[in-house]
Parts: sequence; structure tokens; C-alpha cells
Amino acid sequence: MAADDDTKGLRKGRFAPYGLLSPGVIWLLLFFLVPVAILFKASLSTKPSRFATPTFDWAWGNYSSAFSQYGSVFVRSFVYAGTATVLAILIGYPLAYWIATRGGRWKNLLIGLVVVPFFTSYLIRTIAWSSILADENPLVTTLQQVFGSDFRILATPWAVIGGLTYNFMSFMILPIYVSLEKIDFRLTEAAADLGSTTWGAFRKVVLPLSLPGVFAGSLLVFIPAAGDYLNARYLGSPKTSMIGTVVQNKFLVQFDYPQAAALSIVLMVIITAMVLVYSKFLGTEGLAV
Amino acid sequence: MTTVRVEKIRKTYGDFVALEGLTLDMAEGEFVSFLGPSGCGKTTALRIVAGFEFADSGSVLIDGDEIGPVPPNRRNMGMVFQNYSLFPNMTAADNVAFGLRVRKQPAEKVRRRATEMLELVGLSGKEGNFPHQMSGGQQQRVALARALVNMPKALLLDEPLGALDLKLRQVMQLELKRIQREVGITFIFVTHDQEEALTMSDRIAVMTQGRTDQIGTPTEIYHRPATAFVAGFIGTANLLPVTVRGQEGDQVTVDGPGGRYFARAEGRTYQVGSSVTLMVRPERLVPSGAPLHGAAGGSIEATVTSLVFQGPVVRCQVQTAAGVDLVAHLGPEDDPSSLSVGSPVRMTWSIDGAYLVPEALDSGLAGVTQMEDDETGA
Ligand SMILES: Nc1ncnc2c1ncn2[C@@H]1O[C@H](COP(=O)(O)OP(=O)(O)OP(=O)(O)O)[C@@H](O)[C@H]1O
Ligand SMILES: [Mg+2]
Repeated sequence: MAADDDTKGLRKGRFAPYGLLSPGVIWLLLFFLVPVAILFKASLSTKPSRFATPTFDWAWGNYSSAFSQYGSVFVRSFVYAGTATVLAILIGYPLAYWIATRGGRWKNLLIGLVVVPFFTSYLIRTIAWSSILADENPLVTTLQQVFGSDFRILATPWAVIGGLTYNFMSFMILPIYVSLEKIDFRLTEAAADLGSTTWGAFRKVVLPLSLPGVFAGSLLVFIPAAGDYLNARYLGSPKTSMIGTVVQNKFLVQFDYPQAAALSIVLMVIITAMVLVYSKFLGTEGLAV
Repeated sequence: MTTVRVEKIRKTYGDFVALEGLTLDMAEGEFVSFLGPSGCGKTTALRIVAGFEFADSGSVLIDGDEIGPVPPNRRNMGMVFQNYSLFPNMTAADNVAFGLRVRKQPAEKVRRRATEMLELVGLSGKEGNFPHQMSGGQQQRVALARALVNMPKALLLDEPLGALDLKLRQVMQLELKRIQREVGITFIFVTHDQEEALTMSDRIAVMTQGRTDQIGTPTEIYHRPATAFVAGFIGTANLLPVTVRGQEGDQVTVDGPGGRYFARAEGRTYQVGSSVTLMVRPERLVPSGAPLHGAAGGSIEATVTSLVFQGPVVRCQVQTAAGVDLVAHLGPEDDPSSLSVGSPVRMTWSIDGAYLVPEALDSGLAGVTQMEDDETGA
């Protein structure tokens, strides 16, 4: 009897993990896979006029035009997002390093400060930057005296890249900080004892150990940045439009659902491919810390 | 020849004096232990030799030359850290090769040396393992190989065996000695385990509160402790406060609780009336009637309070009339079966079984030092 009860308990226990997983699985099915399927179907539909209902007819033309008409916008989006990611690493890493190694008892406060901008809406912050960088702003007029009167910041690619860098910076700093925080900095003493300089110890020990943070941060910055439209819209010009701007315009202004859907799918596929290549390249497996 | 010498080292942290006048010579190929209770400054001393900290005053000499504020990477000291500090992102071989690569050695030599060193520490075949894929003892060996690869002037080991269990610790103690003999480098070994220090060291520096109480061979330290602290810290000791009554040549007469005792002067001259400490090791304390080796040194009336069979010896605890606890380790020739708890006994010792520590004993410290229980029980 007792043995019977035991095996029953075991059998029940075997299904417990699936039971616990099911809310997550149902969530994913309902709110991710189903919408993606709908999106995919829409991307292969035709919509003859602005207010007509799209009809599904394997319209692969939406995809060819995604490349032929918007190829350059895709390239621009990835270049901007990539540049913003690199800038975020260059600015965020030293900051995270400084907080992790020199923060002492102020660490938590300093990390809190990194998150403070999130208390204001993303949209408001971006609009605020557009007025700070505007041509008539004292900052820009002062710089015009140095660089000539046609110097401007707003509506240039650098304004968009700067906006992306600024808006996603926290997503870079936090994971890098977390991975640096886990590192036992006595390892640098061990390296020094073996004859290594401070820089050598950083390059061969600390940096490799913090790469998982850099990797996570890059994804968290690059992916949303590549699909972003707010920065391009408020800080850029039509010449600096990104793929997010186009998708938003197609969906909400022109009601061209099939084209917008095709662009979204292409963006998703390219980003996934890039992430896969990137993770192979940075090989996070060997870095079990 | 002296490889490392520290001279009158003083080190403070704020108001706290961590080291005070530490002076010590370490000869080439010598195995020296820093032994002392927690917080006495062992790690601090080691870090000053390695160059991670700088002394407030005093000097560190390597091969006779004083080294000033030279950073660790230009000292060529090897350090084995208590927590190993292996680089988690590198394999065993790469950890060992680190010091060679820093010195820009040719790749071929790096590989050969790393393999050699891993072989020396008995880790052939584990070259490709990452630290998290190795046991504590194996990580310890990698740390050792890594620190030795550059053939440092001295190898500094900070409680390297502290994290290992007893069995493995004993294996590693022998391994360390073997490796030290093979490489012939000075080992400076920090430990708070007196047994470990006794078995491994050529010389031991017993430290308390930032200074060395005694520096000597294990035999000297065990049989001729310079202070009551050393006597109690190394092994178990029965300590009795005594007063000098007279000295005739090599023989000193003292009065203690429960009688008149005799001890050797060991070349020292004692002032009549001065307070000193008489030490009798548990293996030299026997019940009267048991064979004494040499002339009698004294005896004391007591009551047996406990008898514990410990294999080779019976641990016999007695209490004197004055309420002082003493411990004797009785072998078969001492006939422990004739004793029973609660019965009176006269404990005796030979004149050579006693030793006079030239220092007054705080009366609260009279009796057996309990180091044995604290240490081996842990
Ligand atoms: N950075 C520091 N700041 C202030 N005090 C310190 C510092 N480092 C060590 N100390 C103090 O100096 C004393 C000696 O420390 P040390 O680490 O050398 O002890 P230890 O003998 O190695 O002890 P243990 O056996 O516990 O490792 C301790 O009382 C410690 O509190
Ligand atoms: Mg220590």
C-alpha cells in the first residue's frame, strides 16, 4: 500500500513541472505565436485600396518590395543601432566598472541613479532632447559660432544615434554591472603576483569574465534600437528614417497592413539571425562563471 | 643563504597595529611557517612580502637587497591564495601558463612548462579542465603549479589547505613537502593549525598580536617554548605558576602549588624569588609507580576526573587540590587500567620531562591548555 502511494506521488510529481510551466506556455501561445501567425498571414495578403479588407493570396511581392524599396532603410537602421550599441558599451562599461569597483557603500545608490531616467516617459525624454538639440537652443547657437552657421545637431544621423544611445544606456549598464559585481577582484592580485600589469590583468581576466554582461547588454540595446521609431521621428529627418518609422507609418497612417507586416517579419528574421551569429561569435558557453 | 628577510616591520590600519617589529630571516630552500591565532597578522605579513601592502616602517630584503615600494608584478614572489583565486575563464593549463605568457615566453616553451608543472603537482590529463570542473584539492594543485611556474624567489602560501577536509589536507601536506624538495624554493607557509606547522616546517614563527613570540625548529618550539603562549599554542601543555628557590649549576629548584619541583636551567640564570612557568607535556606526566625516564622532577596530588580511550593513548584528566586541571597521555606501560574516575592519584614527572618557561604565568592560565580539543575537534 505504502509503496503504491509512493509511486503515485512520484508519478504526480513528474507532471508538476509541466503544470507549473503551463501558464507561461499558454501566455506565449496566446500573445506571441498567435500574433506572429496573424502577422505572417497579413504579410502574404493583398489590400487593393486604403480601406479594403486584406485578402490572403500568397502575395510574396510584399517581401520583394520590402527589400527593393526599403533595403537602404534596413541598412541604415542596423548601422544606427549598431553604432548606438558600440557607443553604449564605450560609455556604459567604464561607468559600470567604476561603480562596481569604486562604488563602495554608494553602489546601490549609484545604480539607482542609472535607472532614474526611467521615471520619466521615454517619449517625453526624447521630445525634451529634441528641444535641447534644436537649432535655436543656446547650446547649438554657441556651437554654431565655432563650426559655422549651418552647423546643426537636430535632424542629423548623430542626433538619432545619440538619442538611441541615451535612451537604451541603462540596458547596457545594468547587465555589465551585474557581471562585474560577480567577479572576485582578488583575481587581479593573483595576476599581478604572476607578473601581469594592471591593464594585462583587466584584459585577460576581468574583461573576459564580464563579457556575458556585455553580450546581454548589446542584445538589450541593439534589438529595441533596431526597431525603434521614436528617436528617428523626433530627433531625425526623413533622410534619417529607420525601419520602425516606416512600419509605424505603414500601419497607422497608410493602413498598408500587408507591407507593414512583411517589413516587421523581415526585421524579426534579420535580428534573430544577427543574434545567433553574435552569440556564436562571443561564445558564452565557455564563460560559465 | 638568506632569500627573504623582513626587518622590524610595523604596519598599522588606522589606530590598529597589525604588525609590530616583525623580524625574520628565511633561508634558501627553507620551509618556514607563520603560526598564530586568527587576526595576529599572518596574512598581513605575507602580503607585505608579496608587495600587495607596504609596511609603515621596516624593510623587506630579497637576496640581501632592500626592495622599496616595488609592486607585486615586479617582485617575482609566488603566491597561493587561501581561496585559490584561479582564473575561472581559463583551463588548468592556461592558468599555469599565465605567468609565462605575461613574460612573453615562446609558445612552445609555455606549453612544455605548463605540462611539466601540472605533472609535478600530479595533474597530468587535467590540462583542459576549467576550475569549476575540478575538486578543491585539484584546484589547490593548479594554484600551486601556477605560482611555481616562474620559479619565484619564494612561494607564499596563505592557509592553502584551510578549505580541504582532514584526509585531503594530510595528503596535500606530504605533497607540498615533496614539491618543495623537488623545486628547492623557499616556502613561507601561513597556518593556524599547529599540527600542520609541526609536521611540515623547517622552522616555525609563532606570532601573537603582530609580533613573533618565538622562531625556531618544531622541536625547539615544542620542547623549549619561549613563552607560556607558545607552550599552550603548540600542542597541549600543563602549565604551573612557580617561584624560583635556588639554582645549582644546571638544576633549578622551584616552589609551586603542591610542592617543590626541579627543572633544568638550560643555560639560563634564574633570580631567586622570580616567578616563572613550569611546563610538563601530557606524555611526560604519569601516575606514580609508572616508569620515569631519569631523575624525578616533582609530583602533585590530584583526583582523576576523566579517562578517555584515544587509541594509542588514554587521555587522563586530573584535578589538583588547588583546583588546577592537568592532562596526561598514558601509554600501556603507564598502566592506565589501574586508575578510575574519582580515585586519588599522585602524578609525577622526570626532571627532563619538565621545562621552565622564563615568564610569569597569569594565575588564570594555570593547568592544561585546551588547544588540543579546540584544534583537532574543528
Ligand atoms: N585592510 C584592513 N583594514 C583594517 N584592518 C585590517 C585590514 N586588514 C587586516 N586588518 C586587521 O589586521 C589584523 C591582522 O589581519 P590578518 O589578516 O593579517 O590576520 P591573520 O593572522 O591572517 O588572521 P586569519 O588567521 O584569521 O587569517 C586583524 O585584526 C585585522 O582585523
Ligand atoms: Mg589570514
